[in-house]
Amino acid sequence: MDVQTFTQVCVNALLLGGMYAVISVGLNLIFGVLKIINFAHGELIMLGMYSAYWLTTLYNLNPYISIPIVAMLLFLVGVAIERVLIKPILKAPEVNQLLTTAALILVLQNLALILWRADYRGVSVYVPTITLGSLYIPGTRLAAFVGGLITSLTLYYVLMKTDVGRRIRAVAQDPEIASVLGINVSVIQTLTFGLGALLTGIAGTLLIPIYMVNPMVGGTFGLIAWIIIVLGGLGSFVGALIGSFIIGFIEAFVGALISLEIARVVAFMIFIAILFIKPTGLFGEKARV
Amino acid sequence: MALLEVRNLSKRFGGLWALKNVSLDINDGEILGIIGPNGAGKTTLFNCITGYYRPDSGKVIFQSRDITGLPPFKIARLGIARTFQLTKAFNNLTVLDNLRIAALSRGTDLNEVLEVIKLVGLEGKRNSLASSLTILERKRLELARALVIKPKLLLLDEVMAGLKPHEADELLDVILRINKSGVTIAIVEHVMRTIKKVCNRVVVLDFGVKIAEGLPEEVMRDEKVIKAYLGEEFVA
Amino acid sequence: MKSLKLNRIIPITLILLIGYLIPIIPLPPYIMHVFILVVMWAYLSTAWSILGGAAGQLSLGHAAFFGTGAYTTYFLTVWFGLPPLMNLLVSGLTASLLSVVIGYPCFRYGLRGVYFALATIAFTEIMKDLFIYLRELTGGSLGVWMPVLPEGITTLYFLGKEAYYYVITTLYVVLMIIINLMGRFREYLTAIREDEDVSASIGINVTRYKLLALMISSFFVGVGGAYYICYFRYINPYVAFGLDTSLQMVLIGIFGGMYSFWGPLIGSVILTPIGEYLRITLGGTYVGSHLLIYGLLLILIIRFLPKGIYSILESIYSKYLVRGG
Repeated sequence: MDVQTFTQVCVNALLLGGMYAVISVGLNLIFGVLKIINFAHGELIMLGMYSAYWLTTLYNLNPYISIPIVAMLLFLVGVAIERVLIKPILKAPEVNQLLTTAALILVLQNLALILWRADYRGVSVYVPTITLGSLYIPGTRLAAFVGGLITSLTLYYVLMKTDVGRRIRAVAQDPEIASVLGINVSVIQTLTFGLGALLTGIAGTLLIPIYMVNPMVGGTFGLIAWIIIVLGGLGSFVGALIGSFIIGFIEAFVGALISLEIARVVAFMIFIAILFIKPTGLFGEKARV
Repeated sequence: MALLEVRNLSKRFGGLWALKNVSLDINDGEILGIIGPNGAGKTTLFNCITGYYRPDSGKVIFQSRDITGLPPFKIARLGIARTFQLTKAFNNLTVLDNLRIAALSRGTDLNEVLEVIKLVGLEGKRNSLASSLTILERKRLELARALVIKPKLLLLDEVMAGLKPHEADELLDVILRINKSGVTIAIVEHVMRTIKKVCNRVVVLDFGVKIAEGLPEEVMRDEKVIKAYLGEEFVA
Repeated sequence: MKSLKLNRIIPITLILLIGYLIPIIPLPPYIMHVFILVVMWAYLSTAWSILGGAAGQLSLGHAAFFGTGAYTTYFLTVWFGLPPLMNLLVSGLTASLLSVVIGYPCFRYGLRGVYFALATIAFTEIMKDLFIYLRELTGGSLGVWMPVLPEGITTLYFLGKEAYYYVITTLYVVLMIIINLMGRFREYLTAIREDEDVSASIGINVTRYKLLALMISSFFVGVGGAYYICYFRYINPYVAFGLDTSLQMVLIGIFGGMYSFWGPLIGSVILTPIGEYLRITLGGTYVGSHLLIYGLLLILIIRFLPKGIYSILESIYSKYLVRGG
């Protein structure tokens, strides 16, 4: 591989990593605070993508402008899901939680299938491709990367510097103590899930100019998100970021060297390997179940 | 030849040595007490003996056989039974079912199981779900389960925790009966009263190191032991 | 799960009788098809529940074994001209061996709960991606078709559906017989499901029994996949290794009640016809509505009746029987 190709692949890897970071950051937040495994995360992204698609198509909006609207929409969806589905089973055995969110996958996928059919839908947005010498940086991917970066930083700021953020972190650390300190744990849980969904909304909007959407795309995105946060360590913000870039690099390089489909297979195999070696992930604190 | 020999056992977690070069014997038929302040390494010792942890160095020899590093189920099959600090049981099964499965594993027949139930005092609760038992009853169940697999050595990990004094006394009686039926016992404890009442010998650990060993009265007058528990000022 | 020996023989014989006698009534092919589906999913789900229910290891990737079974039968039939009847067995064995590949490391390293579920999902995704990628070998995403063969039991090719029904019913009966014979094994699995540490402390080799449960479970699911392709004559990686397929096995078991081996049958008897009905009536305009209903039902069952429909039957049953011991 010559230097030129190598650099291009590195650029691809970075862009990919950034996108993956956006996909996975919401999942981590939900797990960190509610300690629940949301298998349907990918489907929320899918909903975000569809929302952006419809807003763009029906109202001729530029998808990037629709971000706040989609974010709000998905926030409401998240709140609804949390109140109706999640809250009742927060104390249930883990198996039941797993199955409920797995069932949610079926519900959301097929709801989408019924409403919007199986056709792939895409959005074409004119975002100029940046060319630096021989480096080729697709504008949509750069936008996703930048969008992801801004989102992550904003989330970080919210969690660290705002009052709400502090409460969220308190509940994440210890719900009992948090409630003794006067924090309404139940509201925070709902809020956090909503926030996680909001983040998937943003992710979906950033992704729709790049990937086509159909009811089944949630599966792949969801699995990647899971791989990333397990790799990085469940609940670790930094871990998820690093995990995203590791997966991005693996996919970019394997994709360039062998093929794109194998890239995914390799990423999954590495994931399984990590599960055996260190299930708590690179930065994870939670002990193995 | 002691029933169980621990030789130079060491175990560390990260940078911390939970056990450092600990050696002790458990003699056939005795009740050995293992005491020490919190964090002394008592449960770590048990976990190393029963295969839940792998020691970093040293050996555990049971009936002249090196059992260091064997998995827990193998050690159970060789004749060492244990109880858990936080009582564990098959919660959705009845007391009898809990014990039947243990018996299945060992080849114990139903009559022997019923005897054990009588020995630990759980006859009335035979068909109750394990999840419905009180703390004392759960501890009896733990003892019963350990007995059903016909061990030569029984390790009890802070089995008195959470019991009121009269409950503790009842459990102590069961433990003495178990010992009389031929089972050697090692008991990790905090409560001095228990130790005095029941142990033939005592070993004291502090910060992963054995600091004293001997008869209960001797050990409890030992300066090092007093210092470990109460600090410098209390050494008379 | 104490067995109520004599009291069970009567309902069992009844069910068997009904099961085998159904085709005697002349039924339209479509109804026969539904019966086949009911038994097939009962069979697959029961096989899954050996690991998922009895042993408590929630696998969400059992499609890996299903697809392996289907494709193995295809390869053996088309490439080597071997009779499908025999290929059923080989498919099962292949699936079983494959299960060791994922199962041994998982159990040896103590992967449980979520982590295990995730590993199984990832594993099945790998299978799916591989089969799509290796298109010269496997036909890729277009799938493969079983060729037309002379009719007969050895070729497992029949023009009428009744024969197919007998085959799957027999497979199911064989599975149930084998499960019933494994009394002691089932007790160990129950122990493992309840508490692995306690099980180890009483001398149960947890890793070994989990692996055995997986191997047996995957064997039968593999045979099920082989049957699938012999009946449907077509399969592609999305069906063979799809999450839908895995979830359906799980759902039916949970709905019916996974702590009993009759649960999956009950679940399938209720859910499969509903699913098929929805698929026919709404399927044209509303593709996927049956899966949507499945998903909703699963959520409801977990919330309000986690032990499945069987638990209702059990409480009725126990009101009329004297408990021994």
